[in-house]
Amino acid sequence: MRTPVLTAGVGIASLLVGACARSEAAFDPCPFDVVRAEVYNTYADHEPADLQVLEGDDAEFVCDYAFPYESALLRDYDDEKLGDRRITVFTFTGADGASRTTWVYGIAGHDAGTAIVFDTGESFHIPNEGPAPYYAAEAEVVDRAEVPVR
Amino acid sequence: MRKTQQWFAAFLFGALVGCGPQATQILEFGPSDVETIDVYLYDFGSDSSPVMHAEVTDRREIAELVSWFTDQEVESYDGVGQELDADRAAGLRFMLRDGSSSELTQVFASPLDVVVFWPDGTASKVEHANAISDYYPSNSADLVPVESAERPEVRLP
Repeated sequence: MRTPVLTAGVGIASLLVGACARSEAAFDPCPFDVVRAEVYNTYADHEPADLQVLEGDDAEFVCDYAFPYESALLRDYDDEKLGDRRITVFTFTGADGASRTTWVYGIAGHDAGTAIVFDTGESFHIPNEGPAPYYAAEAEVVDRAEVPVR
Repeated sequence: MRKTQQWFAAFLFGALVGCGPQATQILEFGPSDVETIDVYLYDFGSDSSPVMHAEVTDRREIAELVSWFTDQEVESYDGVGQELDADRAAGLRFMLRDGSSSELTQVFASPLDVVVFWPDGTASKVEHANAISDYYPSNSADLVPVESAERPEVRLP
């Protein structure tokens, strides 16, 4: 009698552990030799939005500083959960003209972390506040419609 | 119910309560909604203490200050305000890009004893918070004295 019970217990425990385990994947949102960074910020469905444009070494710094991770936890998100807090969108351009766009979403809740979505469709979870929203003292106010959408 | 079942039920209840959502407080806006922040530093409960003012315009500082008060874990504050007298207070007036403004006040006794008076009129205790006044040394050139009437009003709930 005890063996099936034990087996079932081990099976359930394995399922629980499996459900909690998350796979990691390489994390590289920056094109080679970044020469330009556009950083948009907005919040939830609010109208205000702004833009910072950084070029040359400053652009490269943004990519290195904002995304220091070599790998990160993959996680799928419902779009509904990605529109409640700050939204920061990074568009990086490389020296060869290649461009990459990355969306950063604050997740509602204390210590809920940050969602990062690549233009490849891959999405990651960062267990902290994630990349800073601003990299210079000033920002240009822009129409919300200018903020890149996925 | 057998004793072991009772213990298990009690454990399960405790675990569920322990994992339950904590009370959190947010501002109803993000850093991109804020044009500038007026910071007022003074000693709480004292009409005679000087009030020092600084205007925050740097987007990076604005974002940091807003993040301090976003999804903040809080406990209810049952005090009457007098116990906060002489503690360091920082009143923040967020000047929003839509032309409106929003105010809160942080009163700091220690990192484990901080009270925030929120824009919605509620007050709560916050643990593990830094003092806003630590970021503005009293000899900072950014600080200028102003009339006490300029600081955000604190309404006890």
